[in-house]
Amino acid sequence: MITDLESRLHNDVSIDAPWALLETFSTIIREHPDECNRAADIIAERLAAFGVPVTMHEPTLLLSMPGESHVTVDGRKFRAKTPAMSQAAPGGIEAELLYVRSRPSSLFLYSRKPEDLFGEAFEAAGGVGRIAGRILVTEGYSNPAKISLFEEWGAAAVIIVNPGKNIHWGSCSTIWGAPDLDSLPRKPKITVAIVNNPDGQAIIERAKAGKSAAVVTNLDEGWFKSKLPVAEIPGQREPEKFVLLHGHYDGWHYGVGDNGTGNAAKLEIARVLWNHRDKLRRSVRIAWWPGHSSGRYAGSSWYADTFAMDLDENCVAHSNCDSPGCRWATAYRDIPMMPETIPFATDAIRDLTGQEATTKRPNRSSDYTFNNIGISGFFMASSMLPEEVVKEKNYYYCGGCGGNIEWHTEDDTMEVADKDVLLTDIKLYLLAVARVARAEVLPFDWRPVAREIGETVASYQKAAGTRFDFSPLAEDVERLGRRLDDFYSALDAGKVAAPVANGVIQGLARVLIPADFTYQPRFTHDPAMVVPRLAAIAKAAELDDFDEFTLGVAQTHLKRGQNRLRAAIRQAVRQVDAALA
Amino acid sequence: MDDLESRILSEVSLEEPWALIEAFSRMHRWQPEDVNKGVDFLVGRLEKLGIPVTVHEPVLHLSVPLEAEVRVAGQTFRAKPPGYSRAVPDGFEGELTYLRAAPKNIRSYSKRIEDLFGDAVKSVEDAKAKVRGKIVVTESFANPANTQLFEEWGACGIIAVNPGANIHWGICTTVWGTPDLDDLPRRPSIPVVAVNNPDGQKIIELAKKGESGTIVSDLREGWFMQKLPVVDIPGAEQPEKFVLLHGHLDSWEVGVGDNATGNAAKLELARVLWNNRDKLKRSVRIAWWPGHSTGRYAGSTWFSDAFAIDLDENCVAQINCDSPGCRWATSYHKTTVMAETEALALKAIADVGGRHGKGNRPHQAGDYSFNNIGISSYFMLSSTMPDDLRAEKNYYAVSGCGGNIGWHTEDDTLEIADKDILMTDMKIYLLAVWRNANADILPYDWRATAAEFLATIDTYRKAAGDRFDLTPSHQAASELAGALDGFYGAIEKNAIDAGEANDAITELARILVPVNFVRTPRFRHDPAYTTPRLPTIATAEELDDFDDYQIGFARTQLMRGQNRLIAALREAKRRVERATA
Repeated sequence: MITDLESRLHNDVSIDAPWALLETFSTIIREHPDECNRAADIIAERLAAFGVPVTMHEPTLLLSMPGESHVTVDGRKFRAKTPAMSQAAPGGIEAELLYVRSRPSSLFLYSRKPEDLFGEAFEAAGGVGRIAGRILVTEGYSNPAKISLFEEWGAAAVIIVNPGKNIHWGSCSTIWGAPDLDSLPRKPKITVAIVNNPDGQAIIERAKAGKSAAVVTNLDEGWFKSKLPVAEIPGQREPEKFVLLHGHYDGWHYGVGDNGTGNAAKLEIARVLWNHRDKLRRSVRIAWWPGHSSGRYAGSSWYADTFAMDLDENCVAHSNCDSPGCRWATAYRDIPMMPETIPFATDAIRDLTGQEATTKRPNRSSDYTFNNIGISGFFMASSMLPEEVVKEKNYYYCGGCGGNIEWHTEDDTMEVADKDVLLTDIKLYLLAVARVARAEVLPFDWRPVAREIGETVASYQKAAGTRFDFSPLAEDVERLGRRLDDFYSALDAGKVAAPVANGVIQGLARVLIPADFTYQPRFTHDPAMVVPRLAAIAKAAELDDFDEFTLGVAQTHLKRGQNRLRAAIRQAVRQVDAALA
Repeated sequence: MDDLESRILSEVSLEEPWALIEAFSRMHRWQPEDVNKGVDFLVGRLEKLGIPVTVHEPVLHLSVPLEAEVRVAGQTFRAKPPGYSRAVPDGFEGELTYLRAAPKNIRSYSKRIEDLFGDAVKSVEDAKAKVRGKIVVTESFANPANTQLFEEWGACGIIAVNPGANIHWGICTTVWGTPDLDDLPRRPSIPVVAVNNPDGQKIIELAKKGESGTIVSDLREGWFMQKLPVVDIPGAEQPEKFVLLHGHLDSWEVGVGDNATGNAAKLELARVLWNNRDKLKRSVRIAWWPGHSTGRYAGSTWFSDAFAIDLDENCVAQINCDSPGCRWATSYHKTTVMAETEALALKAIADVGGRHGKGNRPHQAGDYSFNNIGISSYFMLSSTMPDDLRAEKNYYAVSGCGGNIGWHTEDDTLEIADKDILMTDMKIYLLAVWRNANADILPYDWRATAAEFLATIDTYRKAAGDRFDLTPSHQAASELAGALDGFYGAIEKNAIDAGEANDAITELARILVPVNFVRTPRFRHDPAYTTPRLPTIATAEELDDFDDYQIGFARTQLMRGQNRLIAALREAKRRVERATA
């Protein structure tokens, strides 16, 4: 149900300011820091014009900007792009081509399992042994997990064949944000060229004929000052607590659908919330990130590192705004959100649109940079093309632009945006963010999380069979579930004071999200690769892969992983117990 | 010392312990079957004394050295292969190269090149050029840190030239305990042998002439069921809370000084404590580990994994008992303590023997397998011979047997043990354990830890200069120090409930021990090489090693490391304030 106050917020939403920003951004290529910084100044100016206070940070970020690149085979030159963070080869790399077919379903899969990526045919065709010293040709995007495998296997270079007539830009590093000394060894040392599908098919034919190719790529890599504007709409009752609404303002080329629309949405939300700030209990912090595309989330990572303590102690939730308001994107399907936010976020979608949204676990991608700290997150990409539209248009899958295939190409221009869709998405983000900022008790329900964790443990137990015993963890999780039932019953009965309840609801995020979404310690950043559920014990699903010697190693691994998770779950139980005492 | 303490100490006798030492002096305890026989013998003694003992039977991964030799230029030299070196029973030939080690650091587990090699190596590139593809001959004990370095640099084998007439047994893996899947890549993959000094000097001369050499070695590697006896002496008031007293039972050869004396001391402490259990407030758990020598602390590591949650929630201290009671070892200047336990440990030494001990930071060694969980600790090696006596005897430094160079050799026999010294050491351990188990409020002073942290941060700050700002760390440590002053002030005024104070003191260990001693997450095990103080910000001392481009990575490392540290310091402060409120 939309309340009167929420209706008033919605009535204040206008398309004017966001559309004006979008039109301006549709003329600025926001890749190089010079243009990006100009775009950041424009955001700040427009905010200032509405009276919204804005802080302009200027971090120095490691960026890698693709330049002129091409592939030559048999004297024929093919146009190419090179992914950010790949190794430049201005002088060219020459070697024999080798075609390795990727499974069509693996295009966006940030997995490092060869069978997931290439299917069974891969091993049958000789597997890893053939790869060293050759230029690999394979279908896909500049997928960091896949490219890191090729590098390990000793490929001379990689040619990625995109699925359409356009070549999609991307980044191929698994390092999340600026490398630190622990992640630096993972920085790609391999040269990568991306070609479109017709050219790719031609190259694949030549690869099959045993031809050689030359790959030439140029990149401009270094540390660049990058502006990062943050608007703060202060809450009245708990101003130190805040919801973080965020998205990237740099992009590929004109990037209208990814992410001009998101920048515009956040501008309008800032304006409306600023005008209604007297009605906010908590603050709303709105951030526009640089370095998303050429620095693999370098802007949000810098922010997470620089304001780690504030985020840890005060951020009640984050919401990522990436590619809302795109043409034909009227369906709320597979919307990323963490399970504790599902009841709340799907209510908002239903209240606004009448749609029953479907949801999914957030990928390890976009600017979901706050998992290691442990912050509840909802939304990433927003509304999407309905499935029947995708089929009718015979589109391949794209992660951004609502599913429009102009994503990450020169064609991501004004026609990708849609005023009506954008208005709806602005209202959705506004509604959801305002509800979190206004609720006396944070609207997150940890009961489904405990259930989901319990199901995950059960699935790992089933896979492990008698080879590992997860019952101690399962018992701890069950206890957490029971105590959460007690907690929410007491909360409903008015027996838990709101500040205590909020302390628990926020505190549980710091414990349970790292356990379920990360593997590395808090305050570091997991790589940009699939993080399986309860990563510390995920090897339980792979025990068949181990021999007699390594099974004991895997069991030792699971024992330590189970200890880590048990300690986290028991800590969560103690938090709930303390609130109920 | 109060009357009860004097009375308890007066019950200590040499009868049982000396009998065990004599028996063990005739029993090899390094082959897995022999270790189990040693356990059976010990268990027989405990049962005869009426002390209940639980014998666990973990399956541990061990690498047991068998035999080795080195052949150069027609000569054959006797050798010993360290545990976890690659077995090359058919011989492994390579060109020899001599790399001079810095004499004072041949025992160091440091990975800093300048520590290990002084001026002999100028840079990593220099080192790689010197050792790649060669068998390195260097002055060393079997050392995990330098083995890993040589392997990283591309050496294909190592001949470690020991400093004396004997060849010392050892282990060269950095993997702590049975490997898990994250550890597995760190297992050594090259052959390593140790030779004695006269032979080593000959090999060095031959290496200088550019000779090739052949290493022949055999090891027995695999999974072994090892018995692991634990005695639990229940406390009368808080039986679930316990002090863990422990040391390894397996040894090299008959290992009298390392560690039959420790086994004997624990047997005697078990007897005296069992007889006085009605006067014990908390429980004392006493463990004898297998797998120390051939599994790099595999027994204690298994125990810390298998009982992780109990240790996390209930263990108030871990006390390691290794090599007490050795000949000429009358000095306590090498006493291992954590800052918070220093006063307790040194007072026990002073009260028993009237000697002034000196506290030293624990090495990443011994059976200190509990740092990742975070348990306050003291003692490792026990009394040692005074430096002037060592100089007089012209002994090189060793890591056990009270400084007797029979350590880890066939000469570690009955003559290494000394009845009077053993008596003193047993009383010191007993008094410390007794006080620890019986104190109303756990006798740890976290103010000393906070002061150490501040000093460490100051050192790092000075080293970093204006290249990184560690003021926030300093601020957080100062605030913790302030909160601790309030906490201990309240304790002195009896203004805090003892239970609450003890919970806070124990939980501080779970937070502050990991940040000062480990890098990997809790419930895992850091590698066996030197961990600097406050390791997450230790890069501050190495900033000179980075160029303008690379220093950005080091700064990112420090930023994330500082966040981890500050989050811990603040959590500790909140815990203390909660107890003080």
